[in-house]
Amino acid sequence: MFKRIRGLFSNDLSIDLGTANTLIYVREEGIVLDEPSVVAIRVHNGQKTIEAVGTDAKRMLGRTPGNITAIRPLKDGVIADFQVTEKMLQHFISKVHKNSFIRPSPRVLICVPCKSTQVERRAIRESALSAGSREVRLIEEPMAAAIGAGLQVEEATGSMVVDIGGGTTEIAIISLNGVVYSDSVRVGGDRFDEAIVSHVRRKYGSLIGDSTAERIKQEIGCAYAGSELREIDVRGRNLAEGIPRSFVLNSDEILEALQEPLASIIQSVKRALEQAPPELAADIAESGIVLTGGGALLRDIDRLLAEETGLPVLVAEDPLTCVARGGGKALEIMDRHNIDLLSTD
Amino acid sequence: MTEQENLLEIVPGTDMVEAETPGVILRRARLAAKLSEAQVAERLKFLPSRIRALEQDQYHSLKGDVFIKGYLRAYGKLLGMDTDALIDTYHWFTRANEAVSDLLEPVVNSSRGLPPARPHLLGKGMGVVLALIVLLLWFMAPADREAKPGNDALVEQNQPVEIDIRDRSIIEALGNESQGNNTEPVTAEVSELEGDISEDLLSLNFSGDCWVEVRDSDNVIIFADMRHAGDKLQLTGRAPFKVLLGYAPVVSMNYNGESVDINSNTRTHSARLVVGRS
Repeated sequence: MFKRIRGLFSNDLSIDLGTANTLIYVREEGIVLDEPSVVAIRVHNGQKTIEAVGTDAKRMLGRTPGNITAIRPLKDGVIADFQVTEKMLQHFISKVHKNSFIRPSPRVLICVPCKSTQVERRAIRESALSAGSREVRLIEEPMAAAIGAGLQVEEATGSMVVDIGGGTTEIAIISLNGVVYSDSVRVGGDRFDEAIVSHVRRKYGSLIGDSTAERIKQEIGCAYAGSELREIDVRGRNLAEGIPRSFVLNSDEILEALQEPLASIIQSVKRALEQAPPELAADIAESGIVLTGGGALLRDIDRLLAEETGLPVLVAEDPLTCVARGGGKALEIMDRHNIDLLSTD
Repeated sequence: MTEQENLLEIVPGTDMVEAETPGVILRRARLAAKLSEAQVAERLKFLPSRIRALEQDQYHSLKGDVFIKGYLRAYGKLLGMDTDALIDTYHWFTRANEAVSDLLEPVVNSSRGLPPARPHLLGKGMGVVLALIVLLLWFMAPADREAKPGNDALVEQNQPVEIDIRDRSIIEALGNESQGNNTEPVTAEVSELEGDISEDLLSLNFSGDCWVEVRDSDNVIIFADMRHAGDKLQLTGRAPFKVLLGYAPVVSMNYNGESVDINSNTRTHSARLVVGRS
C-alpha cells in the first residue's frame, strides 16, 4: 500500500546490474547512473557500515586500511554477497531519485545472465525488492542488449548478439521477440584483467593490481595480431626484490596474455552458430554478428571474430550502455503491449 | 562556410558539384588505398553487393540503422578513416534525404497515388452494388413466398411496402409519444395497406418503466427502446413476434386485439416470449 503511494513519486528503472558496472536507465531521461559495482564497508566495533558506493568505493579498491574492505558484490554476473548488493542497489535507486523527502519505490527491470540459475535470479529479485522496489521484472541480458543495440527483435529474422560484459559473455540468437539459442560463458572483462595480471607476474616477476590491469587493457589491449604496436609504462611490485619496479608492456604481449579468454569466447560463438537453425544462420551470415558490452571496446575484437567465423562482425553504437537502454525500451514495450514476452519469468 | 558547403566538392574538369556522401568518401578512400571491392569484401567478410550498396549510398537495401552504422564503421576502420566523422556525414546525408523526400512527398502522392486509387474505388463501388443487390434479394424473397399465384402486380407493389412496414412500425410507436405531425399520414398509409398484406398488430400498455425489444418473424428488431408509465406502443409486422420485456409486471399486451398472458420470470421480472402464430 505504502509502496504504491511511494511509487507515484518514483520512476520506472532499467538496471544493468553488471559485475563491473551498474547502469541505470530512466524512462524519458536516458542513462542517469553509470558507476562501478563496488561497495566499501567499514567495520567498527563489529558493526558494518557502508563507507562508499560506486566510483568512490572503486578508488579504494586495493588501497584500503584494515578496517575498510572494498568489495565487488557481484561475481560472474550473479550476486556473490546478497546484503551488500541490496545496500548498493538501495544507494543507487535513491541516488537517481531527486526527491529525498519520500523514499522511492520504483518499478524495476533488471537484466540477468541467460544461464543464471533460478536461485541466482531469485537472489537478484529479492535483493531489488529489499532495496525498495515495488515490482521487479527480470530480462535476459542478450535480449536487452539486442533491443538496446537497435536490432529489430520483433521481426522474423535471425539476429545474433554477443554481449561481452565484465563477468560473463552472453551469446544469443534472437527472432520474433524470443531467444532461439542462448549461451553464457563466465569469461569477460574481469578474466581479461586476471590474464594480464598473471602474464605480468609470469613474465616480469612483478605483481600489479586489478585496476592497473584494467588500465593496461583499455590503453593497449588488442585482440587481433597485426594491429598498430602500442606501449605503456607500468609500475608493479617486484616479487623477488619486494620493491616497486617500472617496466614497459606492449600490445603484442597483451594479445598473447588474452589468448585464452578470447579463445573461450570464439568457441562459444562458433558453438552458437553450429546450433542455429539454418534459416536463422543464413540471416546472421547476411547481416552479421553484433557486439555489445564493454568487451566490444577491446581493440580489433570485431576483426578477430570476423576472421574466426568468416561473418561480418559489427560493434554496436555505445556498446557499454546497450543493455541498460535495451532494458528501458523493453519495459516500454511490455507496458505498451501489456505483454511479458521478453521477461524471463 | 557552412557544414553542408564543406561537404560539397567540385568534380575536377566539370562544373558539377558532387556531394561528399559517405559512399563517395569510402569509394575515394578505397581507391586511394588501391583496394578492389572484392578485396574489401574479403577483409570485412561482407558480401560484395553490400560494399557496392555502401559506396552508392543505397542504404534501403541494408537492414536498419544499427547495421548501416556498423558497416560504415567497419569499412571506415579498415581504410584507416575517422569513423566518427564518417557517421556524422551519414547522419547529415540521411537528414538531407529526409528533407528532400518531405519536399517531394506531395508531388509523389499526386502522381503515384491516383492509379492505385482507381481500382480501390472500383472495388468499393462494386462492393456497394453487390451489397444492394443482396439486400434487395433478401427483401424480395419473403414477398415472393407470401404472394399468391397470379397476383404479380400486387407483389410488385408490395416490395417497397415490406420495407415501409418496418420503418412505420417504429414511426408509429414514436407517434404514440405525441409526435402528432407524422402520425396521421403514416397510420393512414398503414390502414390502406392492411387489406393487402397479412399483418399482425401487437399493442403494449405500460404502467411503469420497462425496456422493450421486439423482433418480427425475420428476426429483425422492429422496436428496441425504453418505455415509461402511461405509454402505449403499437407495432405492426409479421408474426410471430419475439418479445423481450425488461420489467414485465408493468406491461399488458394485446396481440390482434386478444390479451396475451405474460408469464414473467419471478426472480428478475423480465420476460421472453413469442407471440402470434408459429
